[in-house]
Amino acid sequence: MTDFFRSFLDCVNAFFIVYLVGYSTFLFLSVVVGSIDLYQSRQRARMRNTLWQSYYVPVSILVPAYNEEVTVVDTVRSLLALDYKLFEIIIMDDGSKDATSQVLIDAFDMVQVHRPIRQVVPCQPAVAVYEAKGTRVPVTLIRKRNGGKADSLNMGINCARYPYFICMDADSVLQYDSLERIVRPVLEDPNVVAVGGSVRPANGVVIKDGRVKRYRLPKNILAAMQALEYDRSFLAARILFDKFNGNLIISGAFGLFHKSTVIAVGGYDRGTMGEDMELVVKLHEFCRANHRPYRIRFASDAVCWSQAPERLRDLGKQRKRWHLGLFQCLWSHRRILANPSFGLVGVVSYVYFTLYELLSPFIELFGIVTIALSVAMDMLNLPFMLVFFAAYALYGMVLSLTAFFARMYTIDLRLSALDVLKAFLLCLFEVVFLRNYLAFIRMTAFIGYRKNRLNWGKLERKKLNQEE
Amino acid sequence: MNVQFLIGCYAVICLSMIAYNCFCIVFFRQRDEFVAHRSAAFRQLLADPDALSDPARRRRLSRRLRGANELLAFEDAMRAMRSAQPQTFAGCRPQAAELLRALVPVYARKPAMQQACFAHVLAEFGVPRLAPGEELFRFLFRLLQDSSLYCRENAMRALYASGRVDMVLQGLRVVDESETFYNMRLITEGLLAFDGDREALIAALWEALPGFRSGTQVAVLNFIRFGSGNWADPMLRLLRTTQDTEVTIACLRYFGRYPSAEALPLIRRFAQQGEEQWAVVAVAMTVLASYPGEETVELLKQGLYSRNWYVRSNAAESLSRLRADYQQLRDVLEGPDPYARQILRFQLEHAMTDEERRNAD
Repeated sequence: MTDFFRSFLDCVNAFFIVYLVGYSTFLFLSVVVGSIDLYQSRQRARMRNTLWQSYYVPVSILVPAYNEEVTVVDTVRSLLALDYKLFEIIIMDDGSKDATSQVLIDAFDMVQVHRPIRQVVPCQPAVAVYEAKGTRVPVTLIRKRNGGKADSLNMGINCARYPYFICMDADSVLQYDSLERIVRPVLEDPNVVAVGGSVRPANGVVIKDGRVKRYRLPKNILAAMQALEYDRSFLAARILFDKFNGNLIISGAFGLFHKSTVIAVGGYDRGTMGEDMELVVKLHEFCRANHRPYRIRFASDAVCWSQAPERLRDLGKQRKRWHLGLFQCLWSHRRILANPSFGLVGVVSYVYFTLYELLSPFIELFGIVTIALSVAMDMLNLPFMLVFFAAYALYGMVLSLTAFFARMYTIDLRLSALDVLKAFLLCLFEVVFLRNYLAFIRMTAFIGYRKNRLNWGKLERKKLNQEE
Repeated sequence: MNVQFLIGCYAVICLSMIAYNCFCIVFFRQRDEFVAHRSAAFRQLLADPDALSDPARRRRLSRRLRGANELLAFEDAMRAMRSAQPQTFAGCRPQAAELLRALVPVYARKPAMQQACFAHVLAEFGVPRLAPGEELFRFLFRLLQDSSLYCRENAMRALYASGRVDMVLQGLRVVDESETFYNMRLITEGLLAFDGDREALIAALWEALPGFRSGTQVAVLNFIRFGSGNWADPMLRLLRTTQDTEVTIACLRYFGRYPSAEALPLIRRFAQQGEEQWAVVAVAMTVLASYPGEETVELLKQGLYSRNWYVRSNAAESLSRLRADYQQLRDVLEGPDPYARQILRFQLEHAMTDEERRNAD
């Protein structure tokens, strides 16, 4: 029995070594490539390597809203202040139970119009359509029957009049130059079908007319840890995937899409929680199946400021949704997994997301069970294990800090000494605490899956720019 | 052990990167301060009317400007002077242009990013116009073949700033023949920034038009649409003969902006084409808004019954822009086709909202 268990442990050890070396290498590459890319972007901007005239691509900004009466007016106001020539704003109220529509109607002096809506992608019917009278750019509000976020976005696509659309959250603020920057890849390459923007936590940041007036790490520890996590996971990894057209996610909080291509793939999938990832994977699948040259890009300098949850419960809810969305998406497109006909998307991106995102909580659980069994069989080398965990924590911390500082100096944000100290401490705390908590959340994500499948997963909202 | 070693190596490299990042934060801050300081010094220098005419000082300045940071500081100082002291700026600009032109051989050997920066400075201060030279234009044409979009774009900007029709035309030919993609919006907007005789440029472009690829032709035609109303006759001839859908659309749009009685029969013919040509029909419906009359209203009303959404929508929008009255539209508004009825009703409402928005502006 002991021999059998020893052989089993050897196999487990070998597996974890391969698994962790793979993960460490990925993290390492993503942070290094991300840092270099950010450095080059800054150099380009400094060296006046930019587009100077108003070369604008007309875009429709789609803002799905559900019970957003607290934030939606500010969001639309910030959009109206954007430094961009030709765009429209469409807000889709997905049958809110609060006064989301009414606050918009009052704030922007909207009137009801009898707008016919062309159903090119499926969605719940509209109840009423309103247009603003006193705004610089056209603002349309569509009150519709409740159908979920994907359904609302499909409604927005049906109403959008321009060839490109931007999806964003109703609690987010776009930086003043974000539209100009997110359309730049489209001007550079005619095959670009989608561009992901950079999402950053707005907690602790003072933004006026789309410009950052003051940046500091949030006072709320959970939000501050997410600020570091966003820089490492969102920014660095996406820049790496961008290098080989392998991004599988464009955040629902800020992304640009070529409308007719999205219509060709049937729009957003209304039966999934991760509609943003699902759409991007569908675009990969569609373009490759039709031998159509395409690019899905990531614009690290197009910034959207979004609220990060400040309570553990809200964070848990958010990550549960993300994990379930990931599962649904990866499962429904499983034929891409390790499929060489999808190029590096199938062989690298899909494998990474399956092994290190979807299955990681279960693999970690398996590791914990093995440790427990080893203790029971008196086969655990405790000092080595502690050293290994410490090294792993230190390594994670170093990577987070690398991504964080690279981000800071490349976007000209000034940090106080206190924030730098805070970043060091929080990195450790994030590796030791937050990561394990999130692993637990992801492990239990499937509990209540059917019941909450099409919920919006609302989090507590507060007005942006509020002093903490 | 090997694994621990690998992880250790990664951690050491990352620690080095943190140290490098910290170094960068400090270095960039100091470099920005240096550029600001140099910019102030340049401003002071340029304020002296004799500063650039003294050969010794010019030589010293020329040596300094070989560095990209100094060039950036110089550009900053010139721009500040342009907005704060326009007369002093106008006075020293020709000599500054000579100074910058002399730097062409230096920057021609630098990396693409710095070459693009230099081309930007040339464009910004009209160097190709004030101090033209064969070497300068050769440098710009070479940049147009670079893979960097910013090299190509800044080089084209410098050519537009030259005010020279022949150079812009040659530049456009280089771009057109290149395999590297260059967005036609950039061409249209760039041509509109041409700092010279626009009519002469249009004449030269028109002559060269058949030699361009379809995308470039459309970009040039769009530029002509925004640039001049004197090209109706040749545009009509092109509209009659072209087989290219995109070119047809660009020509039609011209006649939307500059109405022409001679073009009207042809526009009507395009508006009555079959469903397979829906894109042309839809644009023709929009263009008809510039041609008021009973016949136009009838044609647009026919468009309201099209199976294509865009044709219906554009026809309705044109009817609302023509301010057709209720009697004229009664058969549609009270008619049996719900699609035609809804879209027309909406566009009439929308026109009112639009007008209120314009009044609010």
